[in-house]
Amino acid sequence: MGDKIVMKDNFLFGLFKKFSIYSIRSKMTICFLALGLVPILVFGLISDQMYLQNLHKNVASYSEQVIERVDKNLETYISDIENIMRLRSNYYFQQYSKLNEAGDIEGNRKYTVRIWETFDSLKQMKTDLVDIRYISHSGSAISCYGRYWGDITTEPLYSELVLQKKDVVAIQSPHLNILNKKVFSIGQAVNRTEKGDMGIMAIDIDVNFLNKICSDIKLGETGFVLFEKDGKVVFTPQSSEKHGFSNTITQNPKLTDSKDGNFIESINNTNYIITYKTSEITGWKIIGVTPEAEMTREISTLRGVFFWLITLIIIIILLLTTYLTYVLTNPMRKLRSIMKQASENDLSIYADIRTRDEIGQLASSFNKMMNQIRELMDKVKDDQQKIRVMEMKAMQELIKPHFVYNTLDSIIGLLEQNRNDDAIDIVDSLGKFFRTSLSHGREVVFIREEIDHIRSYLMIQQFRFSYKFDYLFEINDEIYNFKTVKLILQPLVENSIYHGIRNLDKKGLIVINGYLKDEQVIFEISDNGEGIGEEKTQQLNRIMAGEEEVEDQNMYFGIRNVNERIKLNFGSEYGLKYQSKVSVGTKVVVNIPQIGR
Amino acid sequence: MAKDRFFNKTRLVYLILALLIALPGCGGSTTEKNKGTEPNTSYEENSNNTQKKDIIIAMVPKSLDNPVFLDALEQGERVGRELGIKVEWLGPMQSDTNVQIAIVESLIRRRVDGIVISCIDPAKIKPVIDKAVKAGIQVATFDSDSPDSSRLFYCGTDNYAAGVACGKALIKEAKEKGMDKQVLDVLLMTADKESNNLNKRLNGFLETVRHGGIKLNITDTLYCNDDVNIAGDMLENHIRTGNTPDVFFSTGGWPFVSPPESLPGFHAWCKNGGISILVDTYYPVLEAAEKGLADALVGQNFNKMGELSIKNLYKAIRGEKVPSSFIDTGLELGDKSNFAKLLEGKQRWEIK
Repeated sequence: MGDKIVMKDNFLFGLFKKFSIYSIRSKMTICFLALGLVPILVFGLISDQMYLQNLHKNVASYSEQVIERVDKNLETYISDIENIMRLRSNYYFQQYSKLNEAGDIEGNRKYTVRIWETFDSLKQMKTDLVDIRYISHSGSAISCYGRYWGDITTEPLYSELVLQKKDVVAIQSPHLNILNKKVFSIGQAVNRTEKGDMGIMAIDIDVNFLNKICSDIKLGETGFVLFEKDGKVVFTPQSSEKHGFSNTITQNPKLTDSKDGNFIESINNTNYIITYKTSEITGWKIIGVTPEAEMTREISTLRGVFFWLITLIIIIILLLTTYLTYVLTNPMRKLRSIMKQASENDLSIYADIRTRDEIGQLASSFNKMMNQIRELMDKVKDDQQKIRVMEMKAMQELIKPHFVYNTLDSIIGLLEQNRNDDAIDIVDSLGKFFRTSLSHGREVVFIREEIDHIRSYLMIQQFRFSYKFDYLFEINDEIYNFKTVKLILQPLVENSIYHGIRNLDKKGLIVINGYLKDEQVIFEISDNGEGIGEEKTQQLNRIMAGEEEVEDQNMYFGIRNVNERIKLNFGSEYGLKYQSKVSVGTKVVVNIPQIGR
Repeated sequence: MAKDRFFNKTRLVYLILALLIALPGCGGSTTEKNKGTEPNTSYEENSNNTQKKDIIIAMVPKSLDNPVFLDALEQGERVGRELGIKVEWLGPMQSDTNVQIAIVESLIRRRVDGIVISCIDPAKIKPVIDKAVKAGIQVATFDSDSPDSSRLFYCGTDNYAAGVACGKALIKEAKEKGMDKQVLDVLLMTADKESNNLNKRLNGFLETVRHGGIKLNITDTLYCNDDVNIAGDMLENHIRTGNTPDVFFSTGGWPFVSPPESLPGFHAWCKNGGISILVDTYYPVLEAAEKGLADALVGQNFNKMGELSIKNLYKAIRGEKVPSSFIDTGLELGDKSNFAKLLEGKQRWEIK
């Protein structure tokens, strides 16, 4: 179960992912199509089902009416035939019957001719009548074709009529008559005696009459009506035989279950709506067979119309969608194009979108952003320029000529004193000093290099000042691999030497601490020199914080240079801060960000 | 005694075997494959038509509505009763060869013992007569023959002789009226073009008249299709057109079955010297002749046709020899001198 949910989630996720790769325009097109089509399709499907159900109901109802009509036609016709058979009570007929039984040949001539004429007149009037015949109990028969002999007991109608006490009609299913014509017969007992003897008056009707009463009935294009009795086909139109399934229908057990009803039966992979009713007068089942497909052809047409309507709607939606998405997404595409240009370093670009919607607002923000970027870029350029200038000044400040002369003089003095090893050490330190000062032109160096640089500087100065001070490094190992702006410690150490320690009567000490605090690298350069007054310390800190301008640009040049270079490189929250007490010493704290590890 | 019983048993076995073989052929249902627009369903034939115990001879007239055949029917029935056989009378209501053929076909299916038929169209009826004969049915013709068929005999009038008698009557009448030297316009009436008997009468009449030196101009021929109801109307209408002939000759008595009063125009024509000669001497024809509508009549004997055809066919069914292939029923000659006498010997038709 859980797996299924995961799969489903994966599927949905995949679908969403696939969907997400499309452009907004495609998404909008899909959404518009879905919004347009889904209601139509749902409406169409529901309508289709309802219409189909209704159609089935109507077809069944119509078929029932049709069959009812066939039954009524049949009943009406049989009633007419019953009326014709009343001539059995006719005077001439009775005379004929009596004289015929009496064997009076001469006396019966008149009645014989009259009966033939009457039969012929009836045939002329009712063209479906094939023959009218009377068979006496002795087997003497008179019909439209003359007089002949038969056996009344073998007459199929006899077996049915002999059991009836009243003069009801009996129907004989279609058969071949004396002239081999296909007829069905309606018969009635005549002159029934107390002994049970009786004659039969029978009227043969052309089976095509059944065709006729069914022919004006429409059950689709190939639907038809057939007649059944005791599981056998009584009559079926020829059109039904090409299907070859009249027998299949009549032998269907559903037909025997009730007198009337309807059901759908599949024969040869085709569905047929079968409606049936039992005729009271004939006992035949009248069966209407309607191909379902013909009845639902109308719905197929509707489906066709619906299909074309949907197609038309899709085309309209596509056109509208194309237009609308173009109108809606065009500013976005324009903006995207502009942004792309901007991303390719064309910062002069300007989004000319004048809509007041979200896209317009976005374009406005973009323009503002571009302005800011341009300003920032200008500022960066300025800052870089400044950094270069200040670095240059720092270098000039660093490599002061008298520092170099004095150092070189000191080296000469050592050489004169044959203190070669010391001279070598100083020369080595001086070399390192200059090398690390240049740093291959890099502005930012590893703290390790900055420490090495200041270590070389202190060694040279310690020698120059004849070990008037000691120095101490307390550097946390963690910070060595972080980066810093170069040449920030040397001016500070130099200030400690020249302004703090040089005029001291005692031995000076310079301590350089380096550690991490609050994700910042902190340097502290402390000396035990003369110190500076509180007012001056505060003034220095205000200048370092940018709260106060200096009157003379040469004033505090070294520390301002360091302070500004730190701020330019890392931000205004970084820089220098002084703490000092007169006759105690001075401590300058440098904070920079942890970068470059 | 025991031997007789053995033979009786053997006969019984043979009889049962014969029945088993014969019954499916004669008593079973027949089916017909539909060829027309009718449904393709098999139907059974009514079984009562196929059972028979007595000898049945079916007489097939040209039509049921022509009363001239009734004498033959009644006499045939009388003879049938005498002989202990059943005589049937089956035919089309109106003259129709196709129905006649269908009736003979049905008689073949029913396997009647004999058929006596008055042929409407000898050529068309021939195949079905041959078929019946092949089926073992004894077939004869009466009144109108089909000489090319395999029928056993023809029982009826010598139709050519009847025509000759009519021709002689015309010659006599023409001479008496002084019209024998002129070309006589003749109006003819017959049933149809096909009837062999009627054509023979016509030929006999025309040939005799011509041989007698009288020239004839046939102005028209009326075909009444053996219908007594329309024949009188046809004749009366023709005479009333004003195109009056000198002679009227009919191969049958159809026009006079109608009451003579219904033919005033024709009656007037006769009074004005028109010569009217017809075949048939049954009651209505003689009655009309007696009232002045005919100068001469040559009659057939339908009683004899019924009698002799049944008797001789019965003989044939029993395996006895029939005397001849032509059984002549003779002629009855009538003219103004004996119409009344002949009428006395006839029975009035009481068919209406």
